[in-house]
Amino acid sequence: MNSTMPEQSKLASESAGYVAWQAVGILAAAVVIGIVYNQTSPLGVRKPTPLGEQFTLNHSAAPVSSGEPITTLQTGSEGAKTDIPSRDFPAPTPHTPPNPAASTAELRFPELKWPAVKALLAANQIVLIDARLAETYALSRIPGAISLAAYSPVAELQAFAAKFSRDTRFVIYCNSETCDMSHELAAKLARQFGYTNLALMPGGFAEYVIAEPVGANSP
Amino acid sequence: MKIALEMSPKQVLRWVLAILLVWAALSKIANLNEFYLNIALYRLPLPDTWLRLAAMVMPWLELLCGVLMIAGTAWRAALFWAMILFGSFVLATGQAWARGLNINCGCFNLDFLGAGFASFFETVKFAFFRALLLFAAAVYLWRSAAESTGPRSGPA
Repeated sequence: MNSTMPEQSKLASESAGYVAWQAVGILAAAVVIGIVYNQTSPLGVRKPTPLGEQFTLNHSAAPVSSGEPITTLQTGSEGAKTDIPSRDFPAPTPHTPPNPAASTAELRFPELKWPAVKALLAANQIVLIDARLAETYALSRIPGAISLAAYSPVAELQAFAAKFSRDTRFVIYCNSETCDMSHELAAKLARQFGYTNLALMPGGFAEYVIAEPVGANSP
Repeated sequence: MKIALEMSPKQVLRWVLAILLVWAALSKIANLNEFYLNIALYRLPLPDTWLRLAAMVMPWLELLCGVLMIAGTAWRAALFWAMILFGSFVLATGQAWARGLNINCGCFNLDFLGAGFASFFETVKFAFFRALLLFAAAVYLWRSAAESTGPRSGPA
């Protein structure tokens, strides 16, 4: 019995050392893979953009409102995929008010890709809304976007609605394709405040990061 | 099916932790920049360089740990890191909750649950208790594993 105790202790010590080396190896592998992957991924970590560097709010004084709907607001399972080239804004089409009986999930909004949004934004034809948390917006955002979090208190939504006429063209984005906040916010603006010119940028901030890789992937 | 039935409760627990790690890792790896922005919101007293490095490395550490724990290779070392990861999640979410930060945990991609459920399960309060549970499970497995002494002993 006495002879087995030191052996067990030695074995445990060797085992602990072996596990420790394995742990170091796992960490080293994670560091190497992580850094290499980050350099190659278009959605790799990039430096945040403080508000002072790129933010220009040019919509507060003169809300964009031409009365021309971006496209019709739809209910049902088929959403509109609209890729509007620069300056070629679609001809006015009669809009369909959102069906109050439709659930948020049933509401469908036109969808724009970043190149189209970029052109419209540059032409001051839309108001771009960042539906992510205000704190996230403060860290990094699409230049020219304004912040209105999808889960903002009603008072904030009302204050927002007081600033913009009901026919203002809005394009709303959040994180990426997997994010629902832009759709949530669009549904609120349509149903609670009667906005009709609403469109989404489903690719969200991720699409912008990929398309505008300035400073991207810098560790 | 037979294999599953032959698994001990500890093995099942290890698999559950491993699958959660893989799930969390994949949702982060898909968009590292989003993960970085999420952890930046925790306002941890760490230099930004550290946060960016953590955002690059942590998802891969989670993935490696999860895969190794499932495979049963170097699983105790993987479990060690899982314990460290869950412990750090407890600290991060706990301090965010204590400071009243209104942020998303950024731990899992739960959008398939719908925005309402996802926002609830991603609150720091819920995430804190979830992390605490996972940390406790990892510590339990670690202590159990410490009882076996062989350097290449099989999974618990």
